[in-house]
Amino acid sequence: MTQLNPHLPLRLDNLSYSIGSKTLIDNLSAEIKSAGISIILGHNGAGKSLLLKLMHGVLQPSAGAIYWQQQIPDSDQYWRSLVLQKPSFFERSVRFHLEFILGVSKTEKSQHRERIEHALEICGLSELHQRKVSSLSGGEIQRLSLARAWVLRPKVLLLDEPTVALDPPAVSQFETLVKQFRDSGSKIIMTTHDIPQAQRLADEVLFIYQGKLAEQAEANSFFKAPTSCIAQHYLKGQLIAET
Amino acid sequence: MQESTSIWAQAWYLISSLDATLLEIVSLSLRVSLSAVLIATLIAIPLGAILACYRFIGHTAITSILTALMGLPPVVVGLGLYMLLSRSGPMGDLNLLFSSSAMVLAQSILILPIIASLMQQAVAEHYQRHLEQFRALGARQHHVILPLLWDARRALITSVLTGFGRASAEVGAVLIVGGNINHVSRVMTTTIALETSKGNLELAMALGLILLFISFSITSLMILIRDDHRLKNHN
Repeated sequence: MTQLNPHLPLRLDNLSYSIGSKTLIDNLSAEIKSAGISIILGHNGAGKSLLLKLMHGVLQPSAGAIYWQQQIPDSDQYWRSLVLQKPSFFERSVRFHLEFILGVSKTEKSQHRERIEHALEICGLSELHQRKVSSLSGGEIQRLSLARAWVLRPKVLLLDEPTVALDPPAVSQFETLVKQFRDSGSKIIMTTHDIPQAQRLADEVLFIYQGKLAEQAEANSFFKAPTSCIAQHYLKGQLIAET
Repeated sequence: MQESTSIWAQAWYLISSLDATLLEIVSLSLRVSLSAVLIATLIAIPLGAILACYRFIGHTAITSILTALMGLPPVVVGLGLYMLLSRSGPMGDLNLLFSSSAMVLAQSILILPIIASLMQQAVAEHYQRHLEQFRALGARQHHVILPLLWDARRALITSVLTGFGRASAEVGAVLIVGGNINHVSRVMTTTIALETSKGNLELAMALGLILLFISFSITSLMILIRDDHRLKNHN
């Protein structure tokens, strides 16, 4: 996919994020230029989710800066959506959540119905639109989370390990949706520690280790011949000693 | 023993025969307490929700004051209000002293901190649970307050019932500002105190039974709401 995305490139300049004396993202610099799906890969605790949240703007870096096409992300911008690993919902219906986010983003009322129906249909939730979220399965909840992000028609979709608690059929359904969104022109940046999933989805891989960017490469070359020693170990399923 | 049995029997007779005096006192008590609950709730819900979702200068002070006022001594409220409403007080011109309105005011002041604090805790719990999601969605406090209040509705009902329970059982403040005047400001609690001191235990007992019934009803309702919620969460 080489469609132009007005918000790319994404540039991370010497990004750091610390809590107390602990540095969780350590002077990380990278640039994401291409459309398609960029996978942030790494083991648990590597800093993938933090990096994704910093990219979105939910978290502010302790040092360094993030630029989306030279703009610093702002919470009032809805061209990007973040799907959390553990999304939360009100005790309301599926449809309410889509209406709610359209209201928050000040989307024109006249567009609400069409957008909601489309998001429900594409995410396979049309039949469930009046159901309360508490009655949905794990897979349905993640699809609702995706629908809630997608209803805003984001140019960039950030997904934080969205399939971590799903069974294989639900994962497959979810991945099909992600590919559809990519094909419609949205940039997808997704975290995962699941190597087969990364291989199925990635156009580009950013391999993170201990809060640092160990390697960034086009997906095929990364999985064939990773250049960093850490990534080679990871892909072989070998334990990486903490340093 | 015989005397005690006779008091119980006469108390029960007063209730079952819907005695006019008894009904008048119960009716005034309910009107006063329900009005106080309504006024306090209308102020406490937005106050509790704002304190739960917003941070501003003085937030900690207001929260601390509200929490401290949950245990406000009723007689102190009664005394303060008496000084405000008495002829020489700053609100003396309103002629509210020794009226049911003064009693409503006293009970409102007493239960407002209770309802507001309980609301704040309940809404804050929901708000903190969703905070990262709200940030991810770009939702601000004013977007989420109403849905959060809906999610916290069971806690809201419980806090209102707690406030009603406190108001209906209150005696010190309403005695001072209401004066316990027959047909004007005589409510269940003040009548029980008065009739007991006069040795007229039948009416006091009848009113005591009604108060107990109200108290048990409120507690049962709160347990029902809680269990219904747990059952729904479990399923």
